[in-house]
Amino acid sequence: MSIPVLTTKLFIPPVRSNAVPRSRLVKKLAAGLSQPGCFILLSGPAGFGKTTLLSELAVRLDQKVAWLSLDEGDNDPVRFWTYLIAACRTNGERIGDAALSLLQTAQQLPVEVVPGILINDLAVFSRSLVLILDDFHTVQNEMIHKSFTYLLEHAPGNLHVVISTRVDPPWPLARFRARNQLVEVRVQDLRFRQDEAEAFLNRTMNLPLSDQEVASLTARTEGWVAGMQLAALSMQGRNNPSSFVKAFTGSNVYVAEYLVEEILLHQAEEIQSFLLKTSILDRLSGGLCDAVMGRQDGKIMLENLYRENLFVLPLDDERLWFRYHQLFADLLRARLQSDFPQEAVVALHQRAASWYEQNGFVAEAVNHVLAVRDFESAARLFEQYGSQMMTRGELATFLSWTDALPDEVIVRHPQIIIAKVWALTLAGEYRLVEPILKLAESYTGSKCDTPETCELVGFTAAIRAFFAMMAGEDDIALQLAERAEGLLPERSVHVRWLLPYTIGAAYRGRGQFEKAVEAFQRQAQMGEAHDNLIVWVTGVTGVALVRRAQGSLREVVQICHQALRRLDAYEAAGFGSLAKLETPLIEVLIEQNELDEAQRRLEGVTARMQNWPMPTDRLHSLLALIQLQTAQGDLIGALETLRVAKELKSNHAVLMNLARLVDLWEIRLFIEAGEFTSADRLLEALQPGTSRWVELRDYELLLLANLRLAQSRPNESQKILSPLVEELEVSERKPALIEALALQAYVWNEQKDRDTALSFFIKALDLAEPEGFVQVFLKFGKPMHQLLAMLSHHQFLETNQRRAYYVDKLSNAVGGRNVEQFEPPGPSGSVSGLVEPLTGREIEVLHLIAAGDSNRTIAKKLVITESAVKKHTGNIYGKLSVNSRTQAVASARQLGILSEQN
Amino acid sequence: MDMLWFYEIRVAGLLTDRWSDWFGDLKIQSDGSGETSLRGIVVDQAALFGVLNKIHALNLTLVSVTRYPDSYELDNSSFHHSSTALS
Repeated sequence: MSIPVLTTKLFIPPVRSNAVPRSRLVKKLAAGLSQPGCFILLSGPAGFGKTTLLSELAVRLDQKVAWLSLDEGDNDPVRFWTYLIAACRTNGERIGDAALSLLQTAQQLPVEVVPGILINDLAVFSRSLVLILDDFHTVQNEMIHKSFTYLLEHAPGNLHVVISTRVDPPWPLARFRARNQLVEVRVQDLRFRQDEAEAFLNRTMNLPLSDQEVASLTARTEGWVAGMQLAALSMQGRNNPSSFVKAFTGSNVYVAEYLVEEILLHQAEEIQSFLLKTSILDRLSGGLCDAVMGRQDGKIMLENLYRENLFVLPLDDERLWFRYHQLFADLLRARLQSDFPQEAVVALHQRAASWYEQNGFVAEAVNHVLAVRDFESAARLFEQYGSQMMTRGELATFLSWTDALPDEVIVRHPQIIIAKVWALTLAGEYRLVEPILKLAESYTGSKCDTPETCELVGFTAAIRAFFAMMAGEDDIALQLAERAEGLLPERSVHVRWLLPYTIGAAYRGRGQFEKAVEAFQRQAQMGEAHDNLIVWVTGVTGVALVRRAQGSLREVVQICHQALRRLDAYEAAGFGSLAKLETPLIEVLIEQNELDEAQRRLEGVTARMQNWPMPTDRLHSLLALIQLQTAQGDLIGALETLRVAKELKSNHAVLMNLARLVDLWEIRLFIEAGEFTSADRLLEALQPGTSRWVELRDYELLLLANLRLAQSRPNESQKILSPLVEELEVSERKPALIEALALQAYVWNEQKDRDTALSFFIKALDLAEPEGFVQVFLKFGKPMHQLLAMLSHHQFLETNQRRAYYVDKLSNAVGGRNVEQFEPPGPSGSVSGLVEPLTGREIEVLHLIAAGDSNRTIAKKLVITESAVKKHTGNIYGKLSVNSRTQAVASARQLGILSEQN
Repeated sequence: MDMLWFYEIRVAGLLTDRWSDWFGDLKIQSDGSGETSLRGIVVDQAALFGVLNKIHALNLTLVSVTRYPDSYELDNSSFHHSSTALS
């Protein structure tokens, strides 16, 4: 469900045929547009013809023009961006699809997210686009300013932004000026010059004025276009304009007041009353004016005003909607306030509000009742339309409304409490939430006897469930979420989609994986049913992560590939918002030691996530990068990534479990680096085995066992591992079990009990082989090669070719990681033929052969035995189907394995 | 508790008193200098900026903003604007 877009706000106001052409300014603007990386700022008070100038510019441009007239209601990031995107796609352009679906998830988004996605889309759009935002001074929201400056700073070359405003925006303008990124048109440029005043008064308005009179009018109004226009209107129909000019220029009463008085005096009483009473409206249509005036002639009145040039501007081609010139409206409103009793003004606003409500514009209705402090009507509108508007994600609007309502009104309306809490939850203001929930409970006493109180109780439970899950309190989260599901009505989609996510995460935390999968699948279906890609992807990613935790690596690959294909079909594969889907796949690729593909994919994910810095998603991808760098032996790189991850988690609210995982990786890297004392200290501080998430607890205990083994304290390692293996054997956590068994094998090997070591090792391999686990065995370096060497003559390999191939792969992987000298296993039957790629070590050997090195030299250089070199050479011959060193080199060059220079 | 302040805001040109409501009940007075003063208690900075925004919206030229303790006599007709003006 999306925000209803008032298309009048996207309409480029037409240039009146008799308007004074301002070619000097249009030229200046057009020149600014042709400067790459520049934006245009049109800054000046009301009535200097900014909008008219922009219309003239828009008409003269060949490029696509996106126009947006902003108003006070756009002080909500969701509304602002929804309108801005709507302006860009008036002809069905594919711009901002992902951003729109994201805006509907109603989350408080980091400021760079939406502009980031747009920048991507615009770069793909490739045609030139001029984005004109009129009346930017109405935007006060800090988030909008931040994200808009992000857009300006990263605008692609084909986007040209033009801003008009009465007040300079709170941006780093000096910096933009210094970098030549800013073209300014300011009040001294906008003033009518003598020649323009003459063209306007004599030709456009057809007034027979002398040069002298034009000059004195220009001086009196200081070239203020609106003043000039008001003066011309006052003179129309007078027999003697000269005497008017004399009286006007002789007076020093405020220009606009003097002239509006003059103009109103010359209007029929009916028109005066119409102008004053309808001045409360930001937009005017016949029907709306009728409602406010209690008459039937609104449409005719507006047409007359337009014909007589009385400061109404059309907002569409059919002339259904108009607005007053802002300055004129201000002057009229000031008079309305001083000439009419307060009750009459209140009644006008109330009538406008009911018309807007009946016609589906709730925000406008609320603005009118709030303008006259009619809080009861505001509260009623809020209750009636609250949940619908929350579904659309108009959070800032909600919060500003609830802030406007006094507390005693709020406590009498449970729906308002719900709205406020939800908005605060999504805005991440967790601390403010609980007091309001308590307030809500004081209203219902946590009883559920009417649909209304049931919803409130269900809602309270859902919010508390979510926070409990975030804090790792899974039991409480599940209890509350299940309660909420039964109580929340179907229409509360905006809260409901959070429930399966909470439930899935909580079950995963407890290790009840099938239940977790069921919940995430439900979330994916919900996303599908409501056409929300982000909710769908979050569900699918949840399923994949659970399968990863179960060790079903092949299924993860399948799930992710299938989902990625669907994204391709939606043309959404490039969206940073959906990039997290690839993270479980990358983790599996790393585990299977397909490091090149993992790296390629991770680079893609990182690039896409630059425009999508949701802290949790980014942290996931950073953890994947640490895994990859560790697997590649790039410890320095991994430590640098860890630093970035730590910074991210300390600056943002992320899942507690994820935050702890960062700490655990720090310890792991310390162990890798041989810094056992530091690792010990950190691990002790974390109290390993106390994590509420079973996966984390396994990981903590395995780390500790690893550390003790590395510290040559195998007995202590054993004490941790024995009960752990026992527990894991009856669990679904296969990856942890594999690692625990492998560790057991190493421990027994250290204690010189080779048979027991081998039996554990074989158990681990048996579990690992079908899913292609590799990395888990590579953590330990030297002991791994000893175990593999022991295995090379074992019957384990002789009975099963698949196992033989697998162990071969493991041995190669250990070699690739540059562990000390080792004996590779004998060539197994399955390693032959062209389809089999060369291993890293074989390629190294091939390079040295190409360089003309003898087997002995190669052995020396690679620190392996001569017979190992021979075995490698034999493998190379087999794979390339050749019989000699020269043939091997030639064939490798042909296949591109070696470059011509080698 | 915030202290209340008395403000005098001066704009160029002459405004009539009918604008008083529009400017949050500030007293509007013109002297012979061709300027108009808007004077009264302004509850806080947000209210002050509201008034300044309205002045800007009407394309009036702001001359000075001066603050006095609220004990200042509103009806002091011999009032001279001091030099602590906003330029």
